[in-house]
Amino acid sequence: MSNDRIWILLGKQLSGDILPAELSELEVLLKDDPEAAASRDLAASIWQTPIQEVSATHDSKERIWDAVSPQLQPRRHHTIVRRLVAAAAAAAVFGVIWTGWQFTRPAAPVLQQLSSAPGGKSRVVLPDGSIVLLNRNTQLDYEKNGFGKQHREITLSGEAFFDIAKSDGVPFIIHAGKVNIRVLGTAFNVKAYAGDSAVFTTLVRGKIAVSFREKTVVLQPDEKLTVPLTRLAAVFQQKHLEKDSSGQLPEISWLNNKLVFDNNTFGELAAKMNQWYGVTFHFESDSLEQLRFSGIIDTESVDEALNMLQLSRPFNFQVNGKEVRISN
Amino acid sequence: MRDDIPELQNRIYNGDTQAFKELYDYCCAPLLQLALAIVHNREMAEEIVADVFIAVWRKRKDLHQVSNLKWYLYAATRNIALNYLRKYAHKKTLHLDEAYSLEYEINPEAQLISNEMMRHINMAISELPPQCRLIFKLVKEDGLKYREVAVLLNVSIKTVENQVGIALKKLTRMKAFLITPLSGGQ
Repeated sequence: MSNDRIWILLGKQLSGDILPAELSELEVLLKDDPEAAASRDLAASIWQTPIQEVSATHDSKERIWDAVSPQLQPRRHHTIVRRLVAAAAAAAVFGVIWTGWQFTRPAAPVLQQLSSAPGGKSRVVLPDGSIVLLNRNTQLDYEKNGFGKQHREITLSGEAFFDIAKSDGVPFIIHAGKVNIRVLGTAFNVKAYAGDSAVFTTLVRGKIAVSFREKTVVLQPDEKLTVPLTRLAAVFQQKHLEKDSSGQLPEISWLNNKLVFDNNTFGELAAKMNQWYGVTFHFESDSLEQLRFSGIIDTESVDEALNMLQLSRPFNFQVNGKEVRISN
Repeated sequence: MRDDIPELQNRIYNGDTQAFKELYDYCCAPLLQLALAIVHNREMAEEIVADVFIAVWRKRKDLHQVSNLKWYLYAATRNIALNYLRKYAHKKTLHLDEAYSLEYEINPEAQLISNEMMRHINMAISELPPQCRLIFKLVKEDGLKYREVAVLLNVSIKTVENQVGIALKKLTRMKAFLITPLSGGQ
């Protein structure tokens, strides 16, 4: 029997370039193929082992640099003002880096900070082999010393999908605001942006325990837990999720590069589009904010997406850089 | 994978030569490899990569229009390499499956496995067919998207999927074979 499909899907999973539907397909295939399932960890460790080309690259690099570097000499025709602006900008960037450095790199504990690319998403492999897909504007922090061996604790700000590597005896713990999520080998999604009023956890497979203020709930696959942060007492809202027609959970649709909205108000949609595109919405009236939409934004630009929305409800818009004005 | 390329881009845009050098150090080797895979001539590949970086520096004031600098570098390398090929068409042809024999070594900084094992992985990677090796490397090592690799090499996404799958299958087999005698106490 040919199991090439498994290897294709494993490659896509390791590279982070996999659709949620394919991920489910992979899980099903691996269930029926214990041999391939056993190779999965091996494949992951091969993937983590960096390869570099050797041969004469080092000499090449120097020769190329010798050709490039003379071009870097500053040109005379730059005005002083322009140079000052450049210098000020460089100094500002440097200042930020320096402050960041000072803040994140005290002498003893080494804090590793990972952020998604501005306006984009990123995939990272943690030292223990766990794979994390970071949604826009998302940051992970962890103590580098002993990570994977003595501890596996990270702090999340934003939204991320986790595929946690199994590790006996070292639980994986995620701190999302005041909510703690304890894991033992599993895949799930956590949404905990700084501006969110709650922490949302959606489990895809495996088992996790979510704790907040001494209270703990164990989640089953396809369940979503909402922990409101605004209440004083710990209140958990747990519900079983229905997969949509494409067989995936709407909560992880961002992995798919899609923004899914289902009977959301324009106001809610504006908040989603703010995270998606990094644009800020201004509504001329409250009634506009109450318009309701359902649909999917795929890879459209802001303009294209708004044009699409105009097809179902009448409104006018004006995009000015990162500002969007909605009017009647 | 470095995630501060947008920041480097911003600094280069402002004329920061140090940032430019950092970008160079980070991207030179993979770009050289791509150029080599296309032109099969080291001297020519070195010229191509130099052209790419000189162009980036000269046009740094246009960098704010580039949304993905890493991809921009790969695409520029591919385009300039193809131009070279056209110029020297009588000498070279674009066939990724032609032998371009580069050796690979495992980065010694990440010694997750024994040296012996690394040597074997190293060998197994160098034994992959050239196109398979290049695609695997672009996806795994350089972190390009499947779609990007397909565009870059003018192959279908299916081909990229298949080649990565094949590479993984072969490498995993090899490693499983290596581990078995040890645990079997042979």
